[in-house]
Amino acid sequence: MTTASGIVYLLDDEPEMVKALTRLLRAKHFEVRGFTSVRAFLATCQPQEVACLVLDVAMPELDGLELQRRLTHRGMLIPIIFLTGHGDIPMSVRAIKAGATDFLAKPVDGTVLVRAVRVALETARTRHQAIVETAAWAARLATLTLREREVMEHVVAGQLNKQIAADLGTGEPNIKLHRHHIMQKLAVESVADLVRVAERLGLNKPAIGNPIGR
Amino acid sequence: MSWVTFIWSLTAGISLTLGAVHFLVWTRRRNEWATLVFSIAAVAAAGYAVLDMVALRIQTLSEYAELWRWALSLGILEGVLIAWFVRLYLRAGRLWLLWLFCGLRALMLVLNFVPGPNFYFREITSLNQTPLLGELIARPHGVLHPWVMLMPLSFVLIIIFAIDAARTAAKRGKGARAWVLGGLMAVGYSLAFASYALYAHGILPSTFSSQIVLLLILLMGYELSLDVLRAGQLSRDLLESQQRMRLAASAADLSLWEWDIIRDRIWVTERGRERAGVDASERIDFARFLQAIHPDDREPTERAVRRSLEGGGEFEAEYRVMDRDGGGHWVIARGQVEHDTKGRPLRLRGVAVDITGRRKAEDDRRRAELEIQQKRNELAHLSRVTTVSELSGSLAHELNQPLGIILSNAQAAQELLLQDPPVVTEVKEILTDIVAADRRAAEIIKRLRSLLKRGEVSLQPLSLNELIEEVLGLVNSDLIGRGVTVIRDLAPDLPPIIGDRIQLQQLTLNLILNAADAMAGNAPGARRLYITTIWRNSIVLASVRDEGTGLPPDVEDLFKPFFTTKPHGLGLGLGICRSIITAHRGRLWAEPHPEGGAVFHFELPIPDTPIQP
Repeated sequence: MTTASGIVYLLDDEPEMVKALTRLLRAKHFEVRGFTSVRAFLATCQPQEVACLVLDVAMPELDGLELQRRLTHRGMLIPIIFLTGHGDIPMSVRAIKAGATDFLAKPVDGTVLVRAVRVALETARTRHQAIVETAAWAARLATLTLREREVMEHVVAGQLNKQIAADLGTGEPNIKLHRHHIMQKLAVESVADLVRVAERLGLNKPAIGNPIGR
Repeated sequence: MSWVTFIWSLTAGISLTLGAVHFLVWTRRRNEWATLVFSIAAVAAAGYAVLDMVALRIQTLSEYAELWRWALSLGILEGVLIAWFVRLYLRAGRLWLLWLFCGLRALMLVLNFVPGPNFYFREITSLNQTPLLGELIARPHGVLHPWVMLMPLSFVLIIIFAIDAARTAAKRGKGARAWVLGGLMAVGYSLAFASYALYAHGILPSTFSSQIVLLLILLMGYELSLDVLRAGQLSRDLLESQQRMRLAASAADLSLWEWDIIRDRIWVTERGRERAGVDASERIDFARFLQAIHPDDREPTERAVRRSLEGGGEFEAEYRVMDRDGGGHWVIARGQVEHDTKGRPLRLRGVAVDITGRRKAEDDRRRAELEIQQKRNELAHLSRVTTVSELSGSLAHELNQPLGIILSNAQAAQELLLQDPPVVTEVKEILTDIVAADRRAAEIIKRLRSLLKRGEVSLQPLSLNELIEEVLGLVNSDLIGRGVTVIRDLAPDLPPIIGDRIQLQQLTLNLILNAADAMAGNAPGARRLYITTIWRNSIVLASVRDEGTGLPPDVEDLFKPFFTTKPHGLGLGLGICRSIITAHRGRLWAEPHPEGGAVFHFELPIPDTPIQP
């Protein structure tokens, strides 16, 4: 088995526990970084990494849920697997709602943990992928002229060329030309694809509110 | 009958009677040698008086000479006997003086039998008739021996001896009576000396030595009779005081006893015999005594006796005396061994008291105390179980931690061994870590078990600091879960105290959990728990301080049973804590802290003698 892509961060106040989990995950060919203090962890992790965090709920410095809140606040959408000794339901519910990937009771079985880590890393990868794709769309969108952006908004809103031409006070052939450029620049082949891109980049919404025939 | 016959016969009669009486006395009191000497002296004096009387009437020279030789022999002997009486009676007088006197008298006795009529006369030339009380009595004339002066010299010697003996005896505490005897003895002999001189000069018709000897015999007899009378009085007094003693003893339910060790015979008062169901006629020896006491108590009692005989002589033992019906009485016996002059034990004498009532009361009290103690232990146990079950979540976590470490390590090792080639080096380290974690889990379980155990109280030397750390280890995750930070300030050189580990752990656990409960409403970061230990003089003081809601107005309410400020509390915790600390001869109290929150203090005494580790 090859090293799975992505970093597994371990955070537990007990060095012995960190050591044991590190061994277990390394034996399963994960790249592991263990920490016993929140501060050291925060100083190391990067938002753009493909990574997940295995976190002990009960940390003397900082509550696990509190750390989760802080990470979210910083914009770090790192998937978190909580380890808990208590395993009380209200706490798990809160954690899951706040975006926890999993909630495992100690002592955690190796197979269960590895599965959870895989899922978490997959999630991280997907998220990462999404972020990367969004960034590429955004870059392409930036190449459109102001007029082309205007036309695109109308197209995405589902208006016909004739309507768009009327709205923008120009001729239908012009609109057709703009449409062609837009499709080319954004490398999409159909209007349906264009709508998806717009959705991804959050562009479709303002057009919906436009009164038809303005 | 003539006056002379009457007086001399009377003299002899009195002497003989006194001699006979005191001889009888002596047969009863064989160790009173003075009495024997006196009775011999009295008989001799009687003999002397008879011979003297006969001699006074004698007409022929040869008869007179022969008779006087024997009379003089008795007279010489009489002096020796009187001197020995003084010595034996007063237990005083210089021996060399006595022996000098005896030697002189012996010499005189020898000289009494040299050729010639007797000690005085080398030759008696004539016997004159001298009138006395209307009669004519014989008075010899003749040539005197040159050693005649030995007689007055011997008188001087015995006078000196008697006065010296009286002085010594008086000094030794015999007082006036010594002076009466010694002094009068001296006076008597002075009188003899004077009459001798007067007779020699022809002034007195006779030496009256029989009467003077009688005087001395009377004096001695009087002294001895006084002793007999006094002995009688003493024995009456003794009897009376014995009776009084018995009365007092029976009133106090005491029995008196005495063991004649040499003859192995035990004497005991009525009460003692009654107690053991032994008839008044039955003879008691040591074996019979042992037979009367409870089989379980025989060995210790025998040991106590042996110890007293071999050791300091003090005897004390507690045992059960069994009567014929098998009923038992608890008895405490105390006594003292008497030794002879060579230090051998002669007898053991003492008293015995029936303490059955006291023993029963003691047993009842002990049983009641034990019952209370048991109730307290049960309550304490119940409270511990409650506390532990409240803590069970945290405790599970505390236990899960090492279990988790073990599991992850073991699975990592499995994985490493499956690889090709297997990574053995790391597996070794893993195994070491597994062992450590396993030990840790075992330690937690041990602590838990000891808390849950329904054990007897066992007192042992303890370090309070260690004990606090153990408890903190147990509640560690609970406190983390509640956001409580523990700040320790434990005196590093804290002396050990004596206590029951589990109960003191319970006490500490309760105070810590209470402190954590009191801060439940505080903002995170304002939930600090301070634990301090200090010591001074003879106590160790531990304090648990919180930043919580504080104390009720009447602080002592806290320690009352069923008082609680918690919604689900039983209200038993602090009451039990108080009873635990009281049983440890310590104190537990609470006070508000000036910066808010409450402080609970408990102090325990440091044992006087240093504890051997």
